[in-house]
Amino acid sequence: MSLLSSVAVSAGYGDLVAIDNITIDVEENSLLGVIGPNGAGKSTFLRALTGVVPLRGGQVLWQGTDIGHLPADARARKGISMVQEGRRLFPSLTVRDNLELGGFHASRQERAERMTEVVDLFPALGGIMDRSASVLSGGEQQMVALGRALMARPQCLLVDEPSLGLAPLIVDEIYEALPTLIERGMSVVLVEQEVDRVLEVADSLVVLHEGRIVYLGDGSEFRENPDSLAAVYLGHALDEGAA
Amino acid sequence: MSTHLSRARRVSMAAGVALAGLVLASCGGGDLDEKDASEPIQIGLIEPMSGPFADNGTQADRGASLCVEQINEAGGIAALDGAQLQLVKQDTGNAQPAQVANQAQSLIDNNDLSAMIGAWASSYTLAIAPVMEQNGMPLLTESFADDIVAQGYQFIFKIPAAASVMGEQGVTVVLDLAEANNYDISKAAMVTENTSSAQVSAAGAVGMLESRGIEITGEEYFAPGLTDANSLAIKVLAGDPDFLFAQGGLADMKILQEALAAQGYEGPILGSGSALVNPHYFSTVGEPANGAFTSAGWNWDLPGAEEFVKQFTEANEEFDFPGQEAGEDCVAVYAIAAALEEAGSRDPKAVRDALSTISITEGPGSMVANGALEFEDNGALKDATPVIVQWQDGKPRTVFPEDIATAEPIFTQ
Amino acid sequence: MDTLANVIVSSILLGGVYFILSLGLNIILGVLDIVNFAHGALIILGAYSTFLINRALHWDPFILVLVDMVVVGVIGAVLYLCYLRFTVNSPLVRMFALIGFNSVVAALLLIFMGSDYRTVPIDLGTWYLGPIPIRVTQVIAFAFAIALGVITIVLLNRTKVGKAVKAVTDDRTSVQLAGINDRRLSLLAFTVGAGLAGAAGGIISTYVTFGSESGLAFAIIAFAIVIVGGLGDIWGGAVASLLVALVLTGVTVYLSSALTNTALFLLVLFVLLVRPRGILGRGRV
Ligand SMILES: Nc1ncnc2c1ncn2[C@@H]1O[C@H](COP(=O)(O)OP(=O)(O)OP(=O)(O)O)[C@@H](O)[C@H]1O
Ligand SMILES: [Mg+2]
Repeated sequence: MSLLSSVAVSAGYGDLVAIDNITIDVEENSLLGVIGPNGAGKSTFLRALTGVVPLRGGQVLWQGTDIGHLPADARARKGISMVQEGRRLFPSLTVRDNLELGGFHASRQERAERMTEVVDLFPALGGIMDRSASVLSGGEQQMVALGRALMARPQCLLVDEPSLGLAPLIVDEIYEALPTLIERGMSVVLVEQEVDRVLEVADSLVVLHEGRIVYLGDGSEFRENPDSLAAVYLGHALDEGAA
Repeated sequence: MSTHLSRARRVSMAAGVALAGLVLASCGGGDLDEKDASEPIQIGLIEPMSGPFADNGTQADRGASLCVEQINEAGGIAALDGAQLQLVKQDTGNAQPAQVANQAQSLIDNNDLSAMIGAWASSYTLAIAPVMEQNGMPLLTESFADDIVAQGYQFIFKIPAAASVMGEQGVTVVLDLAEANNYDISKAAMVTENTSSAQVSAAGAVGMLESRGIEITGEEYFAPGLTDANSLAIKVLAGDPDFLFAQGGLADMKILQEALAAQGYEGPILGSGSALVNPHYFSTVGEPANGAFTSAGWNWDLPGAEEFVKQFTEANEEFDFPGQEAGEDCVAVYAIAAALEEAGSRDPKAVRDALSTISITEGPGSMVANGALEFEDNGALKDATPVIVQWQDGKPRTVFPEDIATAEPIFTQ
Repeated sequence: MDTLANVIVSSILLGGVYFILSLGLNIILGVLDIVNFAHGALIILGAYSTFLINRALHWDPFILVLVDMVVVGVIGAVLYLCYLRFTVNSPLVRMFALIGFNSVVAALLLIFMGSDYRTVPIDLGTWYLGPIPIRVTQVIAFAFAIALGVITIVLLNRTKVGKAVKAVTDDRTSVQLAGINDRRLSLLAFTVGAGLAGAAGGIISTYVTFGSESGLAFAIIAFAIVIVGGLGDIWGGAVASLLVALVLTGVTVYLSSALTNTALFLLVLFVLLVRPRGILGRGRV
């Protein structure tokens, strides 16, 4: 049984169908990469999994049971955390308060332990704990956002474009943390535009185009033949595009 | 002015007469009334019985109802075979004047009224006056504004004195009384809500103060519904006045007078009607209410009111005495009864004509300050005199006119 | 000179009360994004709560401020649970419901309490600060308002739940994604906001005469303060309360009380143009 599955999931906004009939399994202890051009529906897919947007059809299964009807906070309490596109911190609170709210339901002691773990993972956070979240650099924000999500000690972490707008060195730092998470037994769903980086870390890969899956596999084809990706991005199925 | 009418004018007049004839024929024609005495004579009562003026409107209702009962118990209208009087009530609530005019029209349309009483607020009365004229329906009003009898209306009869006189007369009387009591008034200030009748009496009062050589240290109008009176008190007292003309609704007067007292003002206050004639004035405002002067259209200690006061307080135990509107509307009911007797008809136009000729000099109908009820051609009460009262020991006592005063004015320095 | 000092002292005392008057509105707006058009009704319910309990049991009006907070808080919770939470997707329906709540409250008060203006009998005398008279009830009202305001701010900033409430103001989705039940926080915020409005009504009842419809005038002041202070900015609201009190008092004393509403309107307009995020620049737009 997969940890988290979407079964024929559709979702959208108003008249727009943003994702349609998406069936993907997230296996335990693995990293699933999700790529695709702008507007492909990557973020919407994550939102549908977490309950931020309602399902129009299909099911979301958590360890085999349907959680598609649960509100976002209830799904989060099951063990799904998400770092949204654009980080979305609480600017009126300090870094520490941001992190602590991530561990809202844990005991005080438990929270302190998790906090130490997060700082171990991102040492840069140690020095800015009492700073307001409204005055952080992009990299710091991304670390706080990841840290806040990890404070819930999720079994499954969804991350939406963590590299967006960040300097390469900082992106490196964030990507270095990902394998550690997998080592600790977590599953990660990573949405990215930077295909190369995803290919480095992903166990499996999904390519979305206009709300549909156009590729699902381990990504080896693209590692061997990077040009084939361009075709997929244009919406061609791999066999015809690469032919 | 030309002595002959223009052609257009003549044509339109002829048309008007024809139209009036048509209207009369169509609606009056059939039942020009041979009503028998078992059918009550209806009197419309249009008053603000809910909303911000409910205190006043319900006083009017209580007074009118009581006196209708008195008359009915005494055998009704003799000239109409003992027919009983019946009040048909319309609550204006907090409606706009134009709406009140509509209410008056439908009250007339849906009933068989012989006369009406109302509508307390001058703005309401001014709004329904044209309706009365068009329908040929006499209206007795307890409103103050001068305008009501200054516009040539034939069907409006006004019981209290004019607002301007109330303001002026109040000042004159209080200044005279102060002088006689060795209280020196050289500076005065005015603080009044910005409603039309309050502005008229305030302007009258200020003019009179100035003509008596008193320095006006401040003039302030406020919008009803004060949320804070401290700032108002600071301003009004900045010039250190010995005398204040103050007027507003009960709620505002309470916090205003508390603030004035807290800011150290102990001199006399004069108002004109409104809160200061409300039976709840003392119980609401408390100690600062004692000593306040006001002009009023009527007061419970006027000669001839004893029996009315007794019955009123028995029927309405929550009041120690009837308010101004209760007395005025009791007088109005007796005036209508007298007119019905005189006319021997329940037709509104006949009642109107009778009202313009009656003269009541005894009984509850005569319990006005000048002691007699008779209307001038414009509908104003003949020799109308405002009553000047001072609140003493929680009740308003008449201190002027002197011949009917029941208390000596008190001035605290 | 005396007049100026008097104006300043008077404004400070008034400003304290204005702060508590606007705090509940501000919290509800900040957390729930609900423009609480029922604010006036909640205020007046607090005032009547003080009046009725004081009349029946003769409890001290200032103790009753706390009771009002509970009573009106519960009313707010019921309003929220039975109605508002179903209107998330239709702000227009919600606005209508809240304005309607005002009318319903006014009508019920008129039916059950009559049209009489009410006062709560309390007079603790006058103190003198040099030549400036200060009514003791107003000093206590001020102290109560400030104390309640400070307690609210401390709870909001120092407790886990308080911080979560602030976080909802910042980003509701992120709060949900942290596994926190934001619907309960909303209920809490509305209850507290309503309770604070009730407390404000209780405080106001100690120095103002009120009737069934008196809430509106105070609600207008509260709305002005929230805009001037910046939507959702509580410290901005505190500064704005003082500013609004100074403007209203100053305009009355030095110009005319007929201009107070105009001045309030101009102040709001000026702030909207010059500092759309409120006086401290930290509110939302
Ligand atoms: N909140 C929203 N309201 C309406 N439409 C939206 C909203 N969010 C996204 N969309 C639309 O849904 C479609 C999918 O958007 P989505 O954000 O899921 O794409 P994406 O793959 O994440 O794109 P990007 O790489 O730019 O982040 C797009 O057409 C987008 O315009
Ligand atoms: Mg996206």
